[in-house]
Amino acid sequence: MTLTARLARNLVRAVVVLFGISLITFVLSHVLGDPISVLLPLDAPASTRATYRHEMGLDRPIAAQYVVFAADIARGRFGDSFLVKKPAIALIAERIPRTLLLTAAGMVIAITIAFPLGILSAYRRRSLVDSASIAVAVAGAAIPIYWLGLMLQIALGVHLHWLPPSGYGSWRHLILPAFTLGVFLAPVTMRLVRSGMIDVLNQEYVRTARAKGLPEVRVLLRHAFRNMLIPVLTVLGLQFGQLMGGAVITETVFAWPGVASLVVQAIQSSDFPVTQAAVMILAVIILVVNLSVDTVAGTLDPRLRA
Amino acid sequence: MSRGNAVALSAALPLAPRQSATVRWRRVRRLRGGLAGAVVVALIVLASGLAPWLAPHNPYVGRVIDRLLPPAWMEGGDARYLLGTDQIGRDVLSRLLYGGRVSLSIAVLAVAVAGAVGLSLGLLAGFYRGALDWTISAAVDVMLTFPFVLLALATIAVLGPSVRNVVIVLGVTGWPIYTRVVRAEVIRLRTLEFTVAARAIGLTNVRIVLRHIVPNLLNAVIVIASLDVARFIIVEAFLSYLGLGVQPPTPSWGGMLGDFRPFMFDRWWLPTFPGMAIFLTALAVNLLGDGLRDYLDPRSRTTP
Repeated sequence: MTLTARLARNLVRAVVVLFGISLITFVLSHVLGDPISVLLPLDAPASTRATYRHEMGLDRPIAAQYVVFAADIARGRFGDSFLVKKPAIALIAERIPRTLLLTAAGMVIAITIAFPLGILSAYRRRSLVDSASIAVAVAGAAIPIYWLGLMLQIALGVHLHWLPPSGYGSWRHLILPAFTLGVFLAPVTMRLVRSGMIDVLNQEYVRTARAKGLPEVRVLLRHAFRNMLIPVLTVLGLQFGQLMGGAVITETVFAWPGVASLVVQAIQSSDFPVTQAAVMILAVIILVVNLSVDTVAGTLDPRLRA
Repeated sequence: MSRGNAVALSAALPLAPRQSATVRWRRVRRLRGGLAGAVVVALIVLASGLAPWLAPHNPYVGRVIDRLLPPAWMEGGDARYLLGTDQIGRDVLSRLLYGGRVSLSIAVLAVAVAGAVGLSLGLLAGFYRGALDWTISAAVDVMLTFPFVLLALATIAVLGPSVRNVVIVLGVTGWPIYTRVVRAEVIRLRTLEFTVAARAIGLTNVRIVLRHIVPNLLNAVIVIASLDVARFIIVEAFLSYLGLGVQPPTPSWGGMLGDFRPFMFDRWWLPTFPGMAIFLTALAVNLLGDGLRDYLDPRSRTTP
């Protein structure tokens, strides 16, 4: 598949997924939910409700409502937040960098833990190191990260006073949430690196490199590692959505003022415009990451072009 | 045929002759993790199932003068309350036992819903292909692109918090993985000789699917389902932690974690216990699921 064909296929996929997400958001907010019940007090008279309903276009057929809804979000018009009199989009825009900072830091931590462990496990298969790393990965995958975050806050924040338990400000505030998110991502990464490395180490070019008499470190890092990297990074890139799910939990626990904790607040307080805008924008970010990873990997790695 | 081949074959074919006791034992021994997981899961299920007989106190009624007692082994602890008491004097251990019933039954029911929906859609997509497949696959794409937690959160917020709604939400948002796996398997199985033969002798589609295809992908579904129980326990606890899941006074692990969060500054043990319960259960279920995969799916057995 050529680069153009791949790009075209991915763009079609992106449009389909965005349409699907807009449909889900619409069903949740307009079909199952009712914005009127949030905007007006419980004892508002029926006539006021009807007026509001008409003004907001909520008395029109569902399909017509969706068209208006889709046209609005396509132009980035999500309306004002119900709680704060500010455009939803502005609230989100100021929080996006913080979420990206947290996820990037979490990724760095996951990679620092998972890559060395995964490579070592694969290289010394069935050794003590391998069993221990697998055990850590299995345990790590079962830890509810909201609880891990809480325990870290108690141990390092409250009892030892080493780090601020929650909030946002200096780089010290970043450490605990980033570590928590890192633990969320590390087990998957470690397993991917390990199995990728095992695959690569069985390849003939690795045997050739060894036969040439190259030092083991060079065989591992130059010949094996590099070939493992692209497929592993591709799968990781496709996991970006799950990383965002981890960010939702982490931001909530640590009161990290990013997009993810904003969505949770908006959902809890039925702030529909903010919920919709945040959901759509997170979806766009996830899609952009997924599709660019897929496109770039396909271009770099001839084996993936099939 | 050599002996090695015979062993490999008997592992791959469900109808092959019975294996000798030693071969089977070797296979079981390799599954230590799975066995340990199975034992712990059995204990947890037993403990929460027998909660009405095991729990030392009524989980709903507390004595206010006994409120916020530390665990029995700590200074100021009371031997009547092994793990201490909560903010209104209810026994933490009793609430954990009863909470296990709630968390486990929600997870198992939700997995049943997700599995049933996912299996049906996967069968439809894989067997009929065409426009139906395209639509179902696009839906799977959409659902898997988006973080599961966020989808569950948004849906529960609209439907309103209750045990029934948590089951619905987890079931309705959790099905795509089953569909993806089942669809791929069906597409593979459809071209195999036994399906073609079944069609050639004039069996109906329904019969081919139910008698020849479903039995062959049940193992894969069981493996995902077992791992999903752990995932759902963790997500349900998060929803309850946020107050969007199981509602008080019904005890649930996530709800207790949320209730105890304000005490993290001076009573570290309170948030520790429900979290440990969630963690240990998820860990045991995951070990069991990994073991099941090794046992049921011969192709994956060589990987670890």
